[in-house]
Amino acid sequence: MTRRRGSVIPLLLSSLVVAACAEPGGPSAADSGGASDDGGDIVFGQLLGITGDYASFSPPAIEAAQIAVDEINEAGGVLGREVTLATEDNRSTVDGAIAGYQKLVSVDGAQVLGSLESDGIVALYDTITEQQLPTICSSCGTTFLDDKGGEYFFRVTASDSDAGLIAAQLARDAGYKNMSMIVQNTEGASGPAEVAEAAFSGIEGNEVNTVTIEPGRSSYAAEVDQALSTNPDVIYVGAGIEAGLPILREIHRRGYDVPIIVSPDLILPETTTVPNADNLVAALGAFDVDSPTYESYAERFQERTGEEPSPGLYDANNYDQYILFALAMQAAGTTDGSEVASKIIDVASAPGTKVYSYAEGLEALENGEEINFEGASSSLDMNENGNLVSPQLSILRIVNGEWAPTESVAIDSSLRPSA
Amino acid sequence: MQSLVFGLITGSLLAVATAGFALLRNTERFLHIAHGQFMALGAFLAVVLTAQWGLVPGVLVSVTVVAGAGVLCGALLFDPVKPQGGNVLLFTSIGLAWVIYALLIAVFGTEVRIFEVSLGQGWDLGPISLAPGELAILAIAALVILGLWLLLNRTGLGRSIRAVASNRELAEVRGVPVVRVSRVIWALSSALAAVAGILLGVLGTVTTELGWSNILLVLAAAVLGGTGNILGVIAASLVLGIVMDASALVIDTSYRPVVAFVILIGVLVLRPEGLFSVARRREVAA
Repeated sequence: MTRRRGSVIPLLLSSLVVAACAEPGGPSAADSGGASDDGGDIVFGQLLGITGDYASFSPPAIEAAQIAVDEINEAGGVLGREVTLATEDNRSTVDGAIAGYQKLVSVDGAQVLGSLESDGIVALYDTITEQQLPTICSSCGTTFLDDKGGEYFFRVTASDSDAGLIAAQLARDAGYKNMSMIVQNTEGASGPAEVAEAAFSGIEGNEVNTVTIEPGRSSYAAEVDQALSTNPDVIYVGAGIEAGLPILREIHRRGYDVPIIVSPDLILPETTTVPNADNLVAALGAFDVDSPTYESYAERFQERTGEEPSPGLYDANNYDQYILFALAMQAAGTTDGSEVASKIIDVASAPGTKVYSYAEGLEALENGEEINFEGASSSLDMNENGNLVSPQLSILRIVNGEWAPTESVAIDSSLRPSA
Repeated sequence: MQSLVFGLITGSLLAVATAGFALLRNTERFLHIAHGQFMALGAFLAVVLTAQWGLVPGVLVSVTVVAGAGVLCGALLFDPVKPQGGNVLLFTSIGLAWVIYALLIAVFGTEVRIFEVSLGQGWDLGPISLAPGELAILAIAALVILGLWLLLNRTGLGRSIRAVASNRELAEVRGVPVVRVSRVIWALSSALAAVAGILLGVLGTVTTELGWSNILLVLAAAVLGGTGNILGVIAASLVLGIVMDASALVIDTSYRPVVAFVILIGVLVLRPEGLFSVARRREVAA
């Protein structure tokens, strides 16, 4: 869910600045996650795109995070201390993520980090690992974390590998043979697209034509023309909303009336108004709406925002990550970064007593029990790499002007390129 | 052929934007980096106002407001620092660009906006497909450029503008109302930015990044055309648009902006005064 825009040079320069600035005042490996058990408030950091491509996702994410923090404090806080939420804008860019991270850690004193999108995760991976800051991402699908998480990085959403596989599976099951893919050159868009391309083209007789686009253009007419030049029977659009909207309208303008599979970044109200909205289909991690955690969370979310939780906006995932942080910190008995990180998979996964709120988890931990927090977004059971074992996935279409889940789907693992 | 059409659309919008930029550059003698933000301002105002008042009134009011804002900025921000030279004007413009950018975010928010205007489905005209809305955009851009050319070459005001561009001090001595002409130039330049921003918004989307993502292309077109020559700038914009879109036939489209800047570097190395520089032609003729 983030971008690869910009050259390597500003990234390297920014990383150097982070490294240079972090040493004197910020946390080091020895400080372990920037945490200090000094008895003050515990700061939960949130770094996300309040401006830029991901701006649409941030208001519900911040509300959901605040619901979690309120719930934690109402139950008595963590280790008897109040929790506060520090939120920084990464401008939906890599350099913004690096600058925002620096401020969160050095100025705000964040002891855990949540909500960061894919590009930021990739860019900050080494820095965060070195500084031992427990990090959960609520919406980052990057395949980078498929085998690199589990120590300081965890995620409470499906991997892009799963999103890409589902896209290929949808096209295959509908009998399509010729797919054109229009893919934005960003980590979040290209990750699932690469998986989808490999999976779909791996089926005998299938053809894929991939066109890469750069965001920030006034028109994508030439790119769409190139994508349509092979007369595809299905189109995949993997892009942020800024590029995605004109691309979808351009496809319609050129009179092309075929199904369009869109990436999760385009599951937004804006895309329901495009003239070819009826052709759009998407696959997305779904919320476990039968879970007591979801029911309780959804009620509070609706009270605060007047809106229903939306899988496309990852709000429940944002809630879950902060409850997980709090339970892991409580289980660790310290705010020390490495200790907290080592407890995240434990409190999220079986075995253990299933708990559906922070208060329940706190009580069970105080009774000396092992716990298994069942989240609002999914069961949150994680493998050793900090990835969800069984993410919920739904097929979404636009029904009565809104994105709505129309069916559940299980991934056909035979499509995995490595399978 | 289809790429040529797309290139013409891209180039014509770039030409409208760059003509305004070059007009100010030629007369006020600085690179107006905030020009891109005036494009974004025009697009944002129009997307909001057209939703309230309809297309034509919304666009007219937006262009007028941006033109007025340009005049105010010229009088209040740039005139006082003009004696300190081009560099100070340049950095004032950069500062203004960031201020407008921040105001756009504060006032309009960061979400992507779209004009409630359909360009229609493309007509198949032999080897090309052209939507009615795209044709209208091309026609509007052509009319605006033609209007600017007529204004500059067939009116007294145009003569005054060209006199100020040629030699400000001499024009003043000869009785040209330099300050008033300067206000008109600011209004014209800002209005052209607004028109370009609105057309770009109608074709794609309106975001707070619209200004930043276009100002480099405007600069490239201005340098390519030779900053002293409005017609050269328009021709360069069209060339740039066509080459960028036609390049999709041979290289990955994600490299399209790179093509523009490779051309720019080539021109700077081989012909730094620009492809269509009047000064160079005069030198050769002499």
